Amino acid sequence: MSVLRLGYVHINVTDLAEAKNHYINTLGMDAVHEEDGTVYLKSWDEADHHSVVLSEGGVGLTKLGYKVSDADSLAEIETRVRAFGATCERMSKGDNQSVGDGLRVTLPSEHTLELYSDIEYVGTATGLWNPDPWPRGGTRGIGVPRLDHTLITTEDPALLERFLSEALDFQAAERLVGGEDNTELVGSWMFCGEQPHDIAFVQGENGKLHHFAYHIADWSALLHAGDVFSMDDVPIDFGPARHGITRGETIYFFDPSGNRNEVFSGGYRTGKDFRTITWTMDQAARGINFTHRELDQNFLTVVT
Amino acid sequence: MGDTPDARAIEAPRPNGEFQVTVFPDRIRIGVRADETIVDALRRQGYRSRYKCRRGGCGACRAVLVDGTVAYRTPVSETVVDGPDREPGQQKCLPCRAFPQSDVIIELGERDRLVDVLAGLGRSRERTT
Ligand code: FES
Repeated sequence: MSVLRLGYVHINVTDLAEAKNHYINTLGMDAVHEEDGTVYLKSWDEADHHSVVLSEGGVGLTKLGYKVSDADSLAEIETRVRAFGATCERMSKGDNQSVGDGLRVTLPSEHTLELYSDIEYVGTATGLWNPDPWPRGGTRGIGVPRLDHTLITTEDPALLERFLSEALDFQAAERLVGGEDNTELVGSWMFCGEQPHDIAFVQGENGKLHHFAYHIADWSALLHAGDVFSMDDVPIDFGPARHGITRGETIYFFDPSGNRNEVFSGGYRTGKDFRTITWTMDQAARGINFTHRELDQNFLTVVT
Repeated sequence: MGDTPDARAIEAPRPNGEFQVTVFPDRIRIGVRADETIVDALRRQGYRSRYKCRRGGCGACRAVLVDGTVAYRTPVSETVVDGPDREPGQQKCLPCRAFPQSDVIIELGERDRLVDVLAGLGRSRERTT
């Protein structure tokens, strides 16, 4: 059984035209499909039909989709989710544009997480035959290649961690602990493949999104992204900086509705034999922003 | 202008099209142009207030709208404007997205302060006190 990766993020935006401009022209995603105030977008190096879905009305996360290797895995996950006692229902082909049958799970943190193995294949911008390393016709703005991970908030990090590990086979790459004797889990960065994290969560309000992140090539791509943000007057939360946790490099920024996004590069390789790294609360600021060793008062509390 | 603003003064735009925004509790008064939000005007004039997304989505900038009216040119969600602890009779606003429609008084939260980031450059500012 295996969950492959974060496949899609559905979010609400207050103004669809502004949001489209940000995701298409600043970030460089392509609109694949549009209907009834909802736009489906994909990045140039993604092969599946869409990865980010914007719907007009409000702010914040509607649901996350994680792609699973095959239908048998979906069935096995369903058994495990039910054994855990979490709520889940079957999702049918057509519930989501271009996505096949799957499973809709309500996480212990009240987030909706959809699992699917079948989604329309569109192909990357460079194709499979003797591909160029990047689209010769150019990309717009930053030209983000792909989605990477999300960070959500939960009232009970320990419960969510146990659910993701028991029902979905995720493993913790890094954990942030506090309290007496460092026994309380404050946050966890979990992977399903070999990335440092595919989903992460910190203590906070249930059902909320802290950010979702795009992977970009390296530190210089990150600085280039920073240039584009300044040109387009995109509000920066923090960065460019190095994360202690995941060892990645980052810029956090906000979309036109105030949803937090991240461009993320670097990190390390995990895998089934990876041993969990631990951070203690007294080092939390360095864990999150290794470069500056301090955090803005709102970094962890502002969620949508 | 004293503590209680004159109602007529509140309604009258400045000759150059600016409205005046007074920020409590520091009573700092700035001019806000027709094409500026309150946060834009504060930044232009060297101040930092508490904000995060500057896009009306997170509520970090939320302030009490003590007097005057503001308009939002892009939709903002009411739950973000009002925040979690809604007090009856009290109006809130999101200065990052709010365009003054009159002279306005806003009051920052207890822990929020207006920071004069250009103070070191020696510019003097008008204050209401
Ligand atoms: S700064 Fe986020 S709502 Fe104003």
